Amino acid sequence: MKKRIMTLALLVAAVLLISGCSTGQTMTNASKDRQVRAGEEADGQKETEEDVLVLAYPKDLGDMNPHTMTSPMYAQDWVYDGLTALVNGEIVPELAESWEISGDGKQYIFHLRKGVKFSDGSDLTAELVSKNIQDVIDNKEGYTFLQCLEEITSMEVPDKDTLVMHLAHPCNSLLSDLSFNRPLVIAGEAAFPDSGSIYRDGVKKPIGTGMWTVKEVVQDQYTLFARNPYYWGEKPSFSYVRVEVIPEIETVINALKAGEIDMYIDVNDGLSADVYRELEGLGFSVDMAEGTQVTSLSLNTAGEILGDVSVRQALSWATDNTVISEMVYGGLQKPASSYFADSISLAQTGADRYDCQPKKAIQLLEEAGWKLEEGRDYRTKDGAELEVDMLYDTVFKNGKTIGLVLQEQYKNVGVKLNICEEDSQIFRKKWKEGDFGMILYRSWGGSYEPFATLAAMRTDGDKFSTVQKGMENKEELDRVMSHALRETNEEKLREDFAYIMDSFFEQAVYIPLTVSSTLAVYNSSLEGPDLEGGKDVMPVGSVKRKQ
Amino acid sequence: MRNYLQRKLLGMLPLLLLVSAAAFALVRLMPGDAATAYLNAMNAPITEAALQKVQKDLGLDKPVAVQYGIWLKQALSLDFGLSYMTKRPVIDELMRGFYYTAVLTGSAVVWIIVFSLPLGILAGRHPGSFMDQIIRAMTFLGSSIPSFWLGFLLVEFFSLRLKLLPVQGAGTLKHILLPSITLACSYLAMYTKMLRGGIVEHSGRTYVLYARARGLKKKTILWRHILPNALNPVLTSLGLSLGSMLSGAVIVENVFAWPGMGRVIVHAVAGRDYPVIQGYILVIAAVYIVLNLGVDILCAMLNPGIFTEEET
Repeated sequence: MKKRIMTLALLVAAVLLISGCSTGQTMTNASKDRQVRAGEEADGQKETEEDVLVLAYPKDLGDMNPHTMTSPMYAQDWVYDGLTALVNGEIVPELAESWEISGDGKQYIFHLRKGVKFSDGSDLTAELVSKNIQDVIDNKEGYTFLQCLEEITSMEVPDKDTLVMHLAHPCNSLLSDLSFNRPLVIAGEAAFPDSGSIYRDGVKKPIGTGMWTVKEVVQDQYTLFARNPYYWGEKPSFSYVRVEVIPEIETVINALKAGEIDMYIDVNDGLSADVYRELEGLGFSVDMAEGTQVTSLSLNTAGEILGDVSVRQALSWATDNTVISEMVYGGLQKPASSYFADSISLAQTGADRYDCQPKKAIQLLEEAGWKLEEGRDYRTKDGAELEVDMLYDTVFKNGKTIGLVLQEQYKNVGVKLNICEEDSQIFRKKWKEGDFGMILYRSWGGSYEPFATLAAMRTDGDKFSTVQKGMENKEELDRVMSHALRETNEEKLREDFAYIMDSFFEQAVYIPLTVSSTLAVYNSSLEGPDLEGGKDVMPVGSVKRKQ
Repeated sequence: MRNYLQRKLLGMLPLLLLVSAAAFALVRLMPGDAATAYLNAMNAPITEAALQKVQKDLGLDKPVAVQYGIWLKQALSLDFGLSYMTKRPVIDELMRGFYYTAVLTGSAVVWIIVFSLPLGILAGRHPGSFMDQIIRAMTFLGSSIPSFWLGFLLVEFFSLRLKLLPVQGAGTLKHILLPSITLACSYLAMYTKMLRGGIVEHSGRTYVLYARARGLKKKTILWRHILPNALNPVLTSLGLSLGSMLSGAVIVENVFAWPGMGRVIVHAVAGRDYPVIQGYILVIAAVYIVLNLGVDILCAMLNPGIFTEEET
């Protein structure tokens, strides 16, 4: 019997070990593949292991469709370019070297940068630019926030370096819409499927004019990007970037400490202030830049309780976002002053702001009939308790902590806050259907602000519009927002924005909490990234090894 | 033996059919629907017309029974359809992750066998001894440590301090050591405890007393009589655990960025990717059933009396 048991045990162990070993063998080969060593070529030059920059990102590469939102933003930014780009808050030329706008604002003539080639060596032509943009226009129902898709009536290609766009109306957002790293970016002819629509049928090959090309993808493990040998701009110092798929932030930090990755750019606010400072103390280099995304609470103006503007104003007065900035983000994110970041100049209209004054909140609630009875923590009215659901997406880091801080602040004025975490699908559904009290959400930021956001807010049925549904001047507000998207006179445009921002304030629709920061931690042997580009795009073009 | 196997194999079919129907129904009971998730993934506005179009494209406009029939027919030829999210065949999505999860689980089983067998025997042979106390304390500790925490502890010690093993990824044999130990730890403790209990219990049975009276050696009694009986419940339980290890490895996979089934199913659930979720449940159920059959056969080999008992 002893023999039989031992034989069985050894047999199982041996089979499993052999499977492990054979796996190990194949995995070892894979591992070799992933190491880009001497002998591999980028730009026709032999490269060494030193030329590989290793990063981490929580998700896989996706399908690299340039005309949809189905891949990480950084990868689309690295591989594809648009006609324009947003740099330090300014729209600058990218594939278009220059442009002219007709006096009535209805015609744009783009002059393409000459000599630009795609990563497969083919030429950039105006015809191809038009083909890419047309693919997005043909599927514009997916992009209600892109006003330009509504306005472009036709495109002409007078020569291979010139593209003329005709618009139905002037469009303020056109140049910023073209600067997004998706969907109005330009893919090469080799990227198009036989049907001619990348949007609908997917990308054949991820061929762009960007700084990097996709060299190798091992799904759920890593993506290896190689320097685009035909890149038209300043070439990056590294020949390769390997992006490891690591979902857990703790694992990322350990991988950084162990030297398995060189750099981490915090794409989803997972890096706490404590860890950030600990890593700095351990000798890692750290960088921080103020972002353009604002975390705020969107109050349901059509909600049962928050439909009352007095309650919304009371909550605005009761909120102390400096506590959230300090306690939740350890000072790494500054308190926000409005729905849009301070860097969005059009939104700086001088509109009033709610600072933390709980007494005013109590007064407003009393006047609205919400009384605090003896021995109770929360106010009541007609037997109903004053309670509000705060909804947030499960992927929103720190959602619960923010909720706990707010819970305490609102309790001080007699309002009960229920913290409700939902998975992304349910979150979006409830948001769209207005099934919430308040939404905790981070704005799009970057070149999406302010026009793309306005376009979404004024579109009936869009979740951004649902929040404003109960505003007493919603109809007029929609009209003004639509007008702002087309108004070319700056003075009038500022008047529109003054109206919009005043409406947001007076009707207490949004409670701004914090402005995002872009954080990066990296091996001290590197010179840092230019974080002004924003965290979503993981700007690593300027990273180099110190001499 | 042949009758026994035939009966077991035939019994699998209705079970799998039942599981497939349950998987199909359960997926549709999840809050949030696939058409909305699909439009969300495409960043398309969710209008009534768009929902109807997607439902038609995905075949969700047909009655549920018809949808089930179509799916089952395809599933019989291992065609679980295309993933709504990635547009790739579901079987490819599942097998990619399954391969890594199977390697992880298999390696964990090696640890369980290699450690729980000698430790259980050692503790069970001398109950109450110092060694027994130590082993029992270790098993209590092992079964109470949360796996994700143990994972980070092991990384801290072996990867960051000793710099012996990698923190994450799936590259070499070295990569598998920490995840497999982490996954095995609580099971290892459980089976050591179970085996010890079995040995202690059977040592007090009358057949052991008779064996002693017959003058058999202690070792012979242990290996020939006590162990086969004590191992039966352990092996049966291990069969059940294998299924839960396969499906429950997600936490360990996340801690070590191991590209297994966990990641596939988490993405599928988040995106309401019905075909992937259904395929996953069916594959895990099939593996579960097959593993249990394997364990039954193993038990029968250790204790051939089972065949005769069941056949009579």
